[in-house]
Amino acid sequence: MEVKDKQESYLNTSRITLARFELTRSQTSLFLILSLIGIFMLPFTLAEDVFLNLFQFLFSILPDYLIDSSHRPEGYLIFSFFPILIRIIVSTIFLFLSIYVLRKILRHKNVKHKVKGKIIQQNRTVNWFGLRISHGQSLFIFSISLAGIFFTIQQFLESLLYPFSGFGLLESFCWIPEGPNQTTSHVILLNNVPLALMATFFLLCLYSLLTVRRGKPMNPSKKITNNYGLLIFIASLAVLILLSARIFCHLALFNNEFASLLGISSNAPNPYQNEDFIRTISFLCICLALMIASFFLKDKIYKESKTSDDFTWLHVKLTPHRALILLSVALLYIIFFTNYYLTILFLYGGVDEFYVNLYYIILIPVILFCYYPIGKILKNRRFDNIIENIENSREFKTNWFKFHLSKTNSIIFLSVSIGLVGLYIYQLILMNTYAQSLLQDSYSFKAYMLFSFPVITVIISLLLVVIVYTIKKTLPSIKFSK
Amino acid sequence: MNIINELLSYIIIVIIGIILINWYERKKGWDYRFRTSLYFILCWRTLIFLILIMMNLILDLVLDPFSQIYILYPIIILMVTFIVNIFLGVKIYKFVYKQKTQEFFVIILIIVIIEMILESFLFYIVLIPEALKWLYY
Repeated sequence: MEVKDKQESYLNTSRITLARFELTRSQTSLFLILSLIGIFMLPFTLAEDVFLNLFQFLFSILPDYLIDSSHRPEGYLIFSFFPILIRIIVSTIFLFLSIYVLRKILRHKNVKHKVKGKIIQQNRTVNWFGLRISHGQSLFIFSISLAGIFFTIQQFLESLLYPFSGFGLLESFCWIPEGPNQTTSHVILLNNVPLALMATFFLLCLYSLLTVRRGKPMNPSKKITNNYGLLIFIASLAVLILLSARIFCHLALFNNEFASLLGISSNAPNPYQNEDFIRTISFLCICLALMIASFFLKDKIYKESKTSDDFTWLHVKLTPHRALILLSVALLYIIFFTNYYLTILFLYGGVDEFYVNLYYIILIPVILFCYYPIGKILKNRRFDNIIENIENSREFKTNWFKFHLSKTNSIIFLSVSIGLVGLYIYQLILMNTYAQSLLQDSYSFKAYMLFSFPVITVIISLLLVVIVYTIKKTLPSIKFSK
Repeated sequence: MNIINELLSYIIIVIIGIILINWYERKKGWDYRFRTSLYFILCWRTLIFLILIMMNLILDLVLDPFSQIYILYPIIILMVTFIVNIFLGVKIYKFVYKQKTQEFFVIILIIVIIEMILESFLFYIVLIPEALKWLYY
């Protein structure tokens, strides 16, 4: 009996490690939310890529090419096929990562093994680009860098294998205005500047991935950078790099010395170019100022957090349950909209089209609106208190397929599922609208669509069934909550 | 909008809904009459059916299919068929049964999701033969 108690206490106190990072209960909950979002969302992304894009290649592009290849450029098939393949590979990798994290978190208590190798402890601070950040923040940087590496590689390979796309975000920085509705650039810049930018982002992500693993023991008297400071620094750094590339293009196209170094015939400066150059320099200075300001946005390591009693969001009182549900739903939608926004941004860049401009206008406030509750809940270790409150309240256990869920995990499953229902109903409506527009048009209609659209509808229906099952199983976890 | 599809979907959902609600009542041990659950499902579904028809008529009149505002079409449909649908379901349930909605919410959600999936499949049943015409002619 005594041995059993000791074993249980060991298992309860033993913390989960992920990529050797030691996780607290609240960090574990955050990773559980992320893994669930991945598990529920990536199958749909994969289905879209396989049944719409890959099928389009196999049953439309390939047969057309085989019938008449004389008008097609060299490498046409590879350019059409590889971007789809890369997207499928990236989605599959993230799906496996999500499943791995979910299994690791939910099976943790049953596993009685010691973690091999050195564990990266909680009580440490990391020096990242001169900013002193906490263990939790370094975990955030680690996750962002990992996603950034995959995203950069994907973008790089897609631009390499599909050179007809053009007008991407990175390329749009090379086009300098020369007159009203008139821009200029050079093939050397168009080919190399986006490549250099991607290499820079890749190296930054790689550096971050390695740096955040090293740290110094925590000194409670010293302050650390707060979350807003960190986000401002990351955004400013990214914009600063992009603006530096634009300044380089200005110099390469309009400065004789630079132009001769690169072997480009230089253009004569004009008022439009001057105006753009001054505007770019001004934005660069603002970014630099923001980066410097972020060094001064600091918090104490141990700061007293507010109790849940005086904690509200849009005048709604946030109980621990509500806060956890809100956080999960906000995380789900911020990932969805940010991914959508970045895809549009990298695909279309500075193209002045109605749809693109509409997305730019709508998506930024939506993303900020989603960030607001996340920032509020994660501020001042409030989330730790929320998890502690839930764990100490009425006991609840349930099963989800073969996994045993604790009360906190049940609420996380419930909240992610509730968020996903709306998203998948929207995808279902969107797919039907898309199918209607393609199948009723004789020019865009292809035979494979008669199979693809119903199959995607079946996949969405299956995902909705799993989501409803999850809601039904986990809904009692918030019953009688105060 | 295909009115036959909508009517078919309405009838199927009323039948599925009444079965689900009766099952839930038996599970809970409530002794409501069959008429009560029938009133609830008929009120709810008829109201949604009328809203859907009105919305489709308004959208057809207001939105040009080639207009760039057409991007809002799925969002408007989502608002009406999902959010308003669930909201009205919960309100009518509260009015008829005078019970807490927490557990019944799942039943309402299941009915709404079944409706959405059913509508999608009915939509393809009509659309695929139409599309096959392009293939043969």
